[in-house]
Amino acid sequence: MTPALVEAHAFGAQFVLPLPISFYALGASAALIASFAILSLWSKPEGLSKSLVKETNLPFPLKLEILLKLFGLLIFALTLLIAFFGSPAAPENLSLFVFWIGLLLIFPYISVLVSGIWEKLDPFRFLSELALGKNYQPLLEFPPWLRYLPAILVYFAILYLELLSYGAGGIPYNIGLTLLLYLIVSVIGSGVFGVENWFCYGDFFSVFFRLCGLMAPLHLGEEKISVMAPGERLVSGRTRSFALLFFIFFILAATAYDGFRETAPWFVITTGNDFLVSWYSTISLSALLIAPCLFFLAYAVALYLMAKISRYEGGSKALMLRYAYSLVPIALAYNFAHYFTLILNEGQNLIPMLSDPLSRGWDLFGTATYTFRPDLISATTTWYIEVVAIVIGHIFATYIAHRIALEEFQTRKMIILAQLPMLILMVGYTSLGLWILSLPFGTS
Amino acid sequence: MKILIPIVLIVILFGGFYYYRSFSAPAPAGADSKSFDLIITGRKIVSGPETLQVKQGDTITISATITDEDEEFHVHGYDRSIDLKKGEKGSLSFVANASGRFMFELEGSKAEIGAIEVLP
Repeated sequence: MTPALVEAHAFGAQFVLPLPISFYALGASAALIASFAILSLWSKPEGLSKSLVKETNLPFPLKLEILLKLFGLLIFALTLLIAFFGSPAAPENLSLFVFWIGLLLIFPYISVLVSGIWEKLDPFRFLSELALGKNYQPLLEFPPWLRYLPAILVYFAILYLELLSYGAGGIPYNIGLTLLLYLIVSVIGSGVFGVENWFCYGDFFSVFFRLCGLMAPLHLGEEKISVMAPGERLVSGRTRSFALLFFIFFILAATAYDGFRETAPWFVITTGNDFLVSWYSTISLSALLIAPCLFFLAYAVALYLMAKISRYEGGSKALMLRYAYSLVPIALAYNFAHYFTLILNEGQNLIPMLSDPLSRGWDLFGTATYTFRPDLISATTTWYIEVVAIVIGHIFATYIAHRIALEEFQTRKMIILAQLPMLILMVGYTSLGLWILSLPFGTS
Repeated sequence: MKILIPIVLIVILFGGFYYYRSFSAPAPAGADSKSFDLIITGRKIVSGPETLQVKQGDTITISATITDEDEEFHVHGYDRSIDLKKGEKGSLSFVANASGRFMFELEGSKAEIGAIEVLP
């Protein structure tokens, strides 16, 4: 298989030009200004440390809860139906859109605005509950060392299907199988560890959407709805799991990897000579595995310095976990900057598909003849959206990190000094994201 | 109130950038016509550029000859195609009115062999 055939997403095309150097400079300087402004303006310990979460007494209506569950189940069933019995050709099959765009790209962004929706819709959870019954006793406790590892494995499998499967992820039948397999794994996982524990520590979608939801201003809890300033739960939330920290780096690295893989430098590195070409698959796979480790290494160094400078009691490991959630906005903003054109393009393809979901020549809503318009957003608008998204993510992340510092360190001097390595790290991540977007594209 | 300072700074930065760009943009030099000659063998371009750069509004003409098989030449996004017969030159011409980067492929083998970059 030649590299040319490997490159390309599971499906869908983006028509993005590399970010001009001037936009790159604009984004990086905005990130720098924002970082130091935040650091110098709010460094008094008492400044912003009060919690801004408000719980309402509004109970979540039971009827709506049941409706959402049934809706989730309906979408799941329809997706399976279309995957197995719809058109086998990639662009015309709705199941690909539901899985790759709806579930893996749009749903995370919905969770950024309103968290807790997935728990209510989740067909895998609903079916696992149905299969096991109410009084089911799990076989095992969820061992602490195993927490989040199944989610990381499934994340990796999905990335593999998306980026390294030679297009297998673009075949509707495979998406149907993937969804069925995911359901089987969910039921078995729930059977062994119990539904609550599996969907808390093991299930990929639950872990992923819960992380995104930590930024949300609106949270639909089990029984109550809470309203808060965006990101409040990134500040107050704490994890004890390095696996979850690694999961966050996987989100960050997967986007960077996918972006870098389309660029000219990647082609020079990976296809420079025949030897490299023959090892292409191995190199691609290793790069996907190494990328999060590199991001993690930079983070570990920064937090080690922070612990040294501040003589933090708990040591650098405790700080690494404490700051874990502050990276979520950077990871998601970068993800959005990289993928929003894919959503726009595939969203356009959705218009005719909705009228003819099973490719039977139907025209349910009169949109079956809509043809794709490549000029919907211009290259310049795309560049602005990319830069603005990345800068907003950066500002948000620095703000969260700063709030955490206000809680962890006591004096003004300590807050400023300890935050410096973190700021440099975040400016580094942001510039790296912009840099990858600015690289020229490669063709095989 | 302090929050206004960085917000104002960043708004000025972006505003200045936007103003500078629209101010310093070269006057449209009028639409050109650009032609490219490609020879394709073994699902690769063996003669001619892999990246065809044009300005938005230009008329682009791609003449392609495929030496070893019959294929359909397809430009993504613009969704323009032409059937190529082995050994015969086929050509495709259209106005590049949407900016962006559009891959073209050999439809039969799904091999993406190059891209058109339409600069704004």
